[in-house]
Amino acid sequence: MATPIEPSKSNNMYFSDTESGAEMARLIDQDHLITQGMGGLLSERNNDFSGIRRILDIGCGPGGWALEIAFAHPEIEIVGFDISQTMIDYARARAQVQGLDNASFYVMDATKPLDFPDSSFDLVNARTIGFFPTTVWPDLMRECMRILRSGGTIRLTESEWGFTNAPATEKLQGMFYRALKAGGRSFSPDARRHGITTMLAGFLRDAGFINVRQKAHVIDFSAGTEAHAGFYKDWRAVYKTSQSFFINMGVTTQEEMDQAYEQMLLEMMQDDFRGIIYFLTAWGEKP
Amino acid sequence: MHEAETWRELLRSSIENVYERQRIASELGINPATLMRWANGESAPRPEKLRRLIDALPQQRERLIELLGREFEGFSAMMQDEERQGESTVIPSEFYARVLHTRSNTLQSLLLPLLCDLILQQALEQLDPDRQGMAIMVSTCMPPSTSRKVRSLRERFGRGTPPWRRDLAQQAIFLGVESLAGYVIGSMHLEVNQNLRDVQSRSPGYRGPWEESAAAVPIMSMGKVAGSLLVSSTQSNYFLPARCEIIESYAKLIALAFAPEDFYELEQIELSFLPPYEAQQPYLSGFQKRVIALVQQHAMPFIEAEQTAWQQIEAELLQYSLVNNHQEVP
Repeated sequence: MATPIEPSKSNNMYFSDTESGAEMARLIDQDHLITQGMGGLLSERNNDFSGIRRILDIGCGPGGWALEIAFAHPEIEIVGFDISQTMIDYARARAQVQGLDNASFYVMDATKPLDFPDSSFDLVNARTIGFFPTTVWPDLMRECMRILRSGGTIRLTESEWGFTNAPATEKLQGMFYRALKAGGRSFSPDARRHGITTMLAGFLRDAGFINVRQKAHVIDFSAGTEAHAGFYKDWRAVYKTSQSFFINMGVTTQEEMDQAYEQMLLEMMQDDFRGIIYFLTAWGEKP
Repeated sequence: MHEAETWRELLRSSIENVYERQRIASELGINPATLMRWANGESAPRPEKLRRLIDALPQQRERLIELLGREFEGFSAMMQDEERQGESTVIPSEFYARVLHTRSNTLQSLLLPLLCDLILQQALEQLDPDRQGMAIMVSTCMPPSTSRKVRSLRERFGRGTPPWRRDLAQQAIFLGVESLAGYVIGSMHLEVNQNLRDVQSRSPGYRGPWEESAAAVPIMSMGKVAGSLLVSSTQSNYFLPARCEIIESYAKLIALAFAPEDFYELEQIELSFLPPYEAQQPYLSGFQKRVIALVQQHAMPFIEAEQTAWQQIEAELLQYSLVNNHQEVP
């Protein structure tokens, strides 16, 4: 789980079929896992939403983070956008069945000027959008600065993939990083990791945000932990659906992939399997 | 003007005008003469017609519900509850679209788990929007082994809101005729237990001290059965007609996640009694070790090893039941 593979947000670099509902189910699971692992919806403020009336969620996917806030804080108006019409239709239907009138969702492209007025949000959130092309960040940060009110907060949350003690699992991760590099979505000079977490605070400072701070949360998904089953289920699905992507990107062959996949299923089931993943939140204020 | 004392009086005054009578009759899809018979106390409408009658007379709505409640016990409560649920008495078309799209382009080996997760998530949000506490579980027929009959169901995919955990699959067990989920396989239709404490009831499929009411419905396609869907609530009397309709719709959606060979004719199913959760635990906890052993010692492919391990566990549980309970299949 908690894979940084979020096709809706990856700007047409699809690992698997973006429009597939199966992917949707994964993203919803991910949202829950990340929120839980990070100690809440706004953990760096001890989940204190006082003074916040309007929130924007960039690359909201099926709306998980936004809908959780809408449920917990009926007084807050939350807006989410995503490039995928399907994701937005789905997020709207979820809001409707839950009677969450304070959440609204729009189709919008984060790489273009955002269709919101100046100074119209108290908080702008972007979680796991790290698979945008590396070049879009500066413009996006400028747009966030524009739509935030003075004193408003921006927060970015990204992760590196997991770190494990299992050979085949690590091999698959390596393929993943190389495929990202080949697709121009990696900040790592040698494709040994994604490298996005290294960049977040700099993006904020470069755009002129002040009081920039960072906090990391670790999720342990080793054998025997609460999170293990979720990761096992997720990786079982994601490394199956992303096979053709890896092969197309020239980072592996079908035979090598099949073998590593079977081995990974076995490794993760062993009592001595160890794995962690960390999420870094960087946040700052508009002067 | 004299105020109506019964809903029939109210109806009579509402349909004095012949055009109004025509309008209401056509909105209800009935003959105007039927409306007259209701108004004159000669016949009584079915519940669904009552609901549409209320919709056809929006200005009389509150009074009508109140008066209907006097003649039909429990009607007001039912209506209030449906109102509270607002528009969520049907599954949104976006949800259907999502499921159909997923089904058309997901690898077959992943379809069942991914589609079940998606549908259960949708069902949970729709059936428990206020998060009062609900568990939804899909159980599937265990493929027959030596007996050539389906002898048990296995809980496969589950979602919950607190106090249940979110992913229920981790505590999944085998079920038989002793369970509500198993019972509906034979009855072939939805069964509700509105108060699990009062009734000498079939044991609920999901186990939690907080479970107050439950509904189960078989998952069917072309008259065959793949398993059942069980919904448990922390509230008693939660499964009102409107919610039951939604549950049945979700069961039909879930049927799309299965392959044709996952469905069994009723004659192929002969569920046994399965032991309770505590007795199953020692067998279930050895699942991973069995799989690893089958792969490493017998060079079995992983997926096949999983299936084999489940079948071994099922066989041992059936044996356990035989030895410990001496219960016969009814």
